[in-house]
Amino acid sequence: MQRSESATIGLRNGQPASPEGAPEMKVEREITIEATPGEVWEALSEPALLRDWLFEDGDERELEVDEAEEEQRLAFRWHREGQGETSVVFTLEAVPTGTRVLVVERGLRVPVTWGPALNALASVSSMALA
Amino acid sequence: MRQAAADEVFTALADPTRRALLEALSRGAPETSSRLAAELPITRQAVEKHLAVLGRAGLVERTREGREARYEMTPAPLADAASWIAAVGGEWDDTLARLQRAVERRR
Repeated sequence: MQRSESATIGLRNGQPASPEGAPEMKVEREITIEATPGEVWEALSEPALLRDWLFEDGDERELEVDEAEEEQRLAFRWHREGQGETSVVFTLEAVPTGTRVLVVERGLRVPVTWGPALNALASVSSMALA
Repeated sequence: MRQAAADEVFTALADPTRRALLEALSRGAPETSSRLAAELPITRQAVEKHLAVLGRAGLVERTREGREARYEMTPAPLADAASWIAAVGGEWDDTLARLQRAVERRR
């Protein structure tokens, strides 16, 4: 199993993107699963299977599906507590060892200012906690 | 992160002048408001108002040294924000691990 991670903060046109004035953030994670994209897609596209892994016990949320491209891409919006609506995109890619699954969640709002010194500070503490 | 604290950090960072002040303070040594005002196109009084907002969010600490107050950055709330980012990422790590198990169970 391989994992990589990153968290980035983007300011649109140099301005905070959200109404609260905080920078909008996206989180990206990935995993490589020893299975074909078709097998992984099954777990993403069959609601009964999806429910089993996407939600922690008792934390079922409604999904507004925007795009479902077979064996390639699933995009939806959902609500995160204290955050409002965020968007999630799963992308599947066949790799020699199986299928690389990339997930990107956008629209998260975090209070962080983004100068070089603070950037360094934030990456140090994310690494410590990740 | 406590919600009240998070809101105050949000408010404090919403303003570009306050972000510039923090950036100046993050370079290290405590600064006086007049020195900070010299770097920005605003008055010392305006700088002090912004520093007070940053102070309420716990991002800046004020100490008195002789006649003039000095301001220092206290980045703990930002570390909280960074740990919040890490927590969301950690949730996705768990979710992807559950996906992996779900796929492998069906093979």
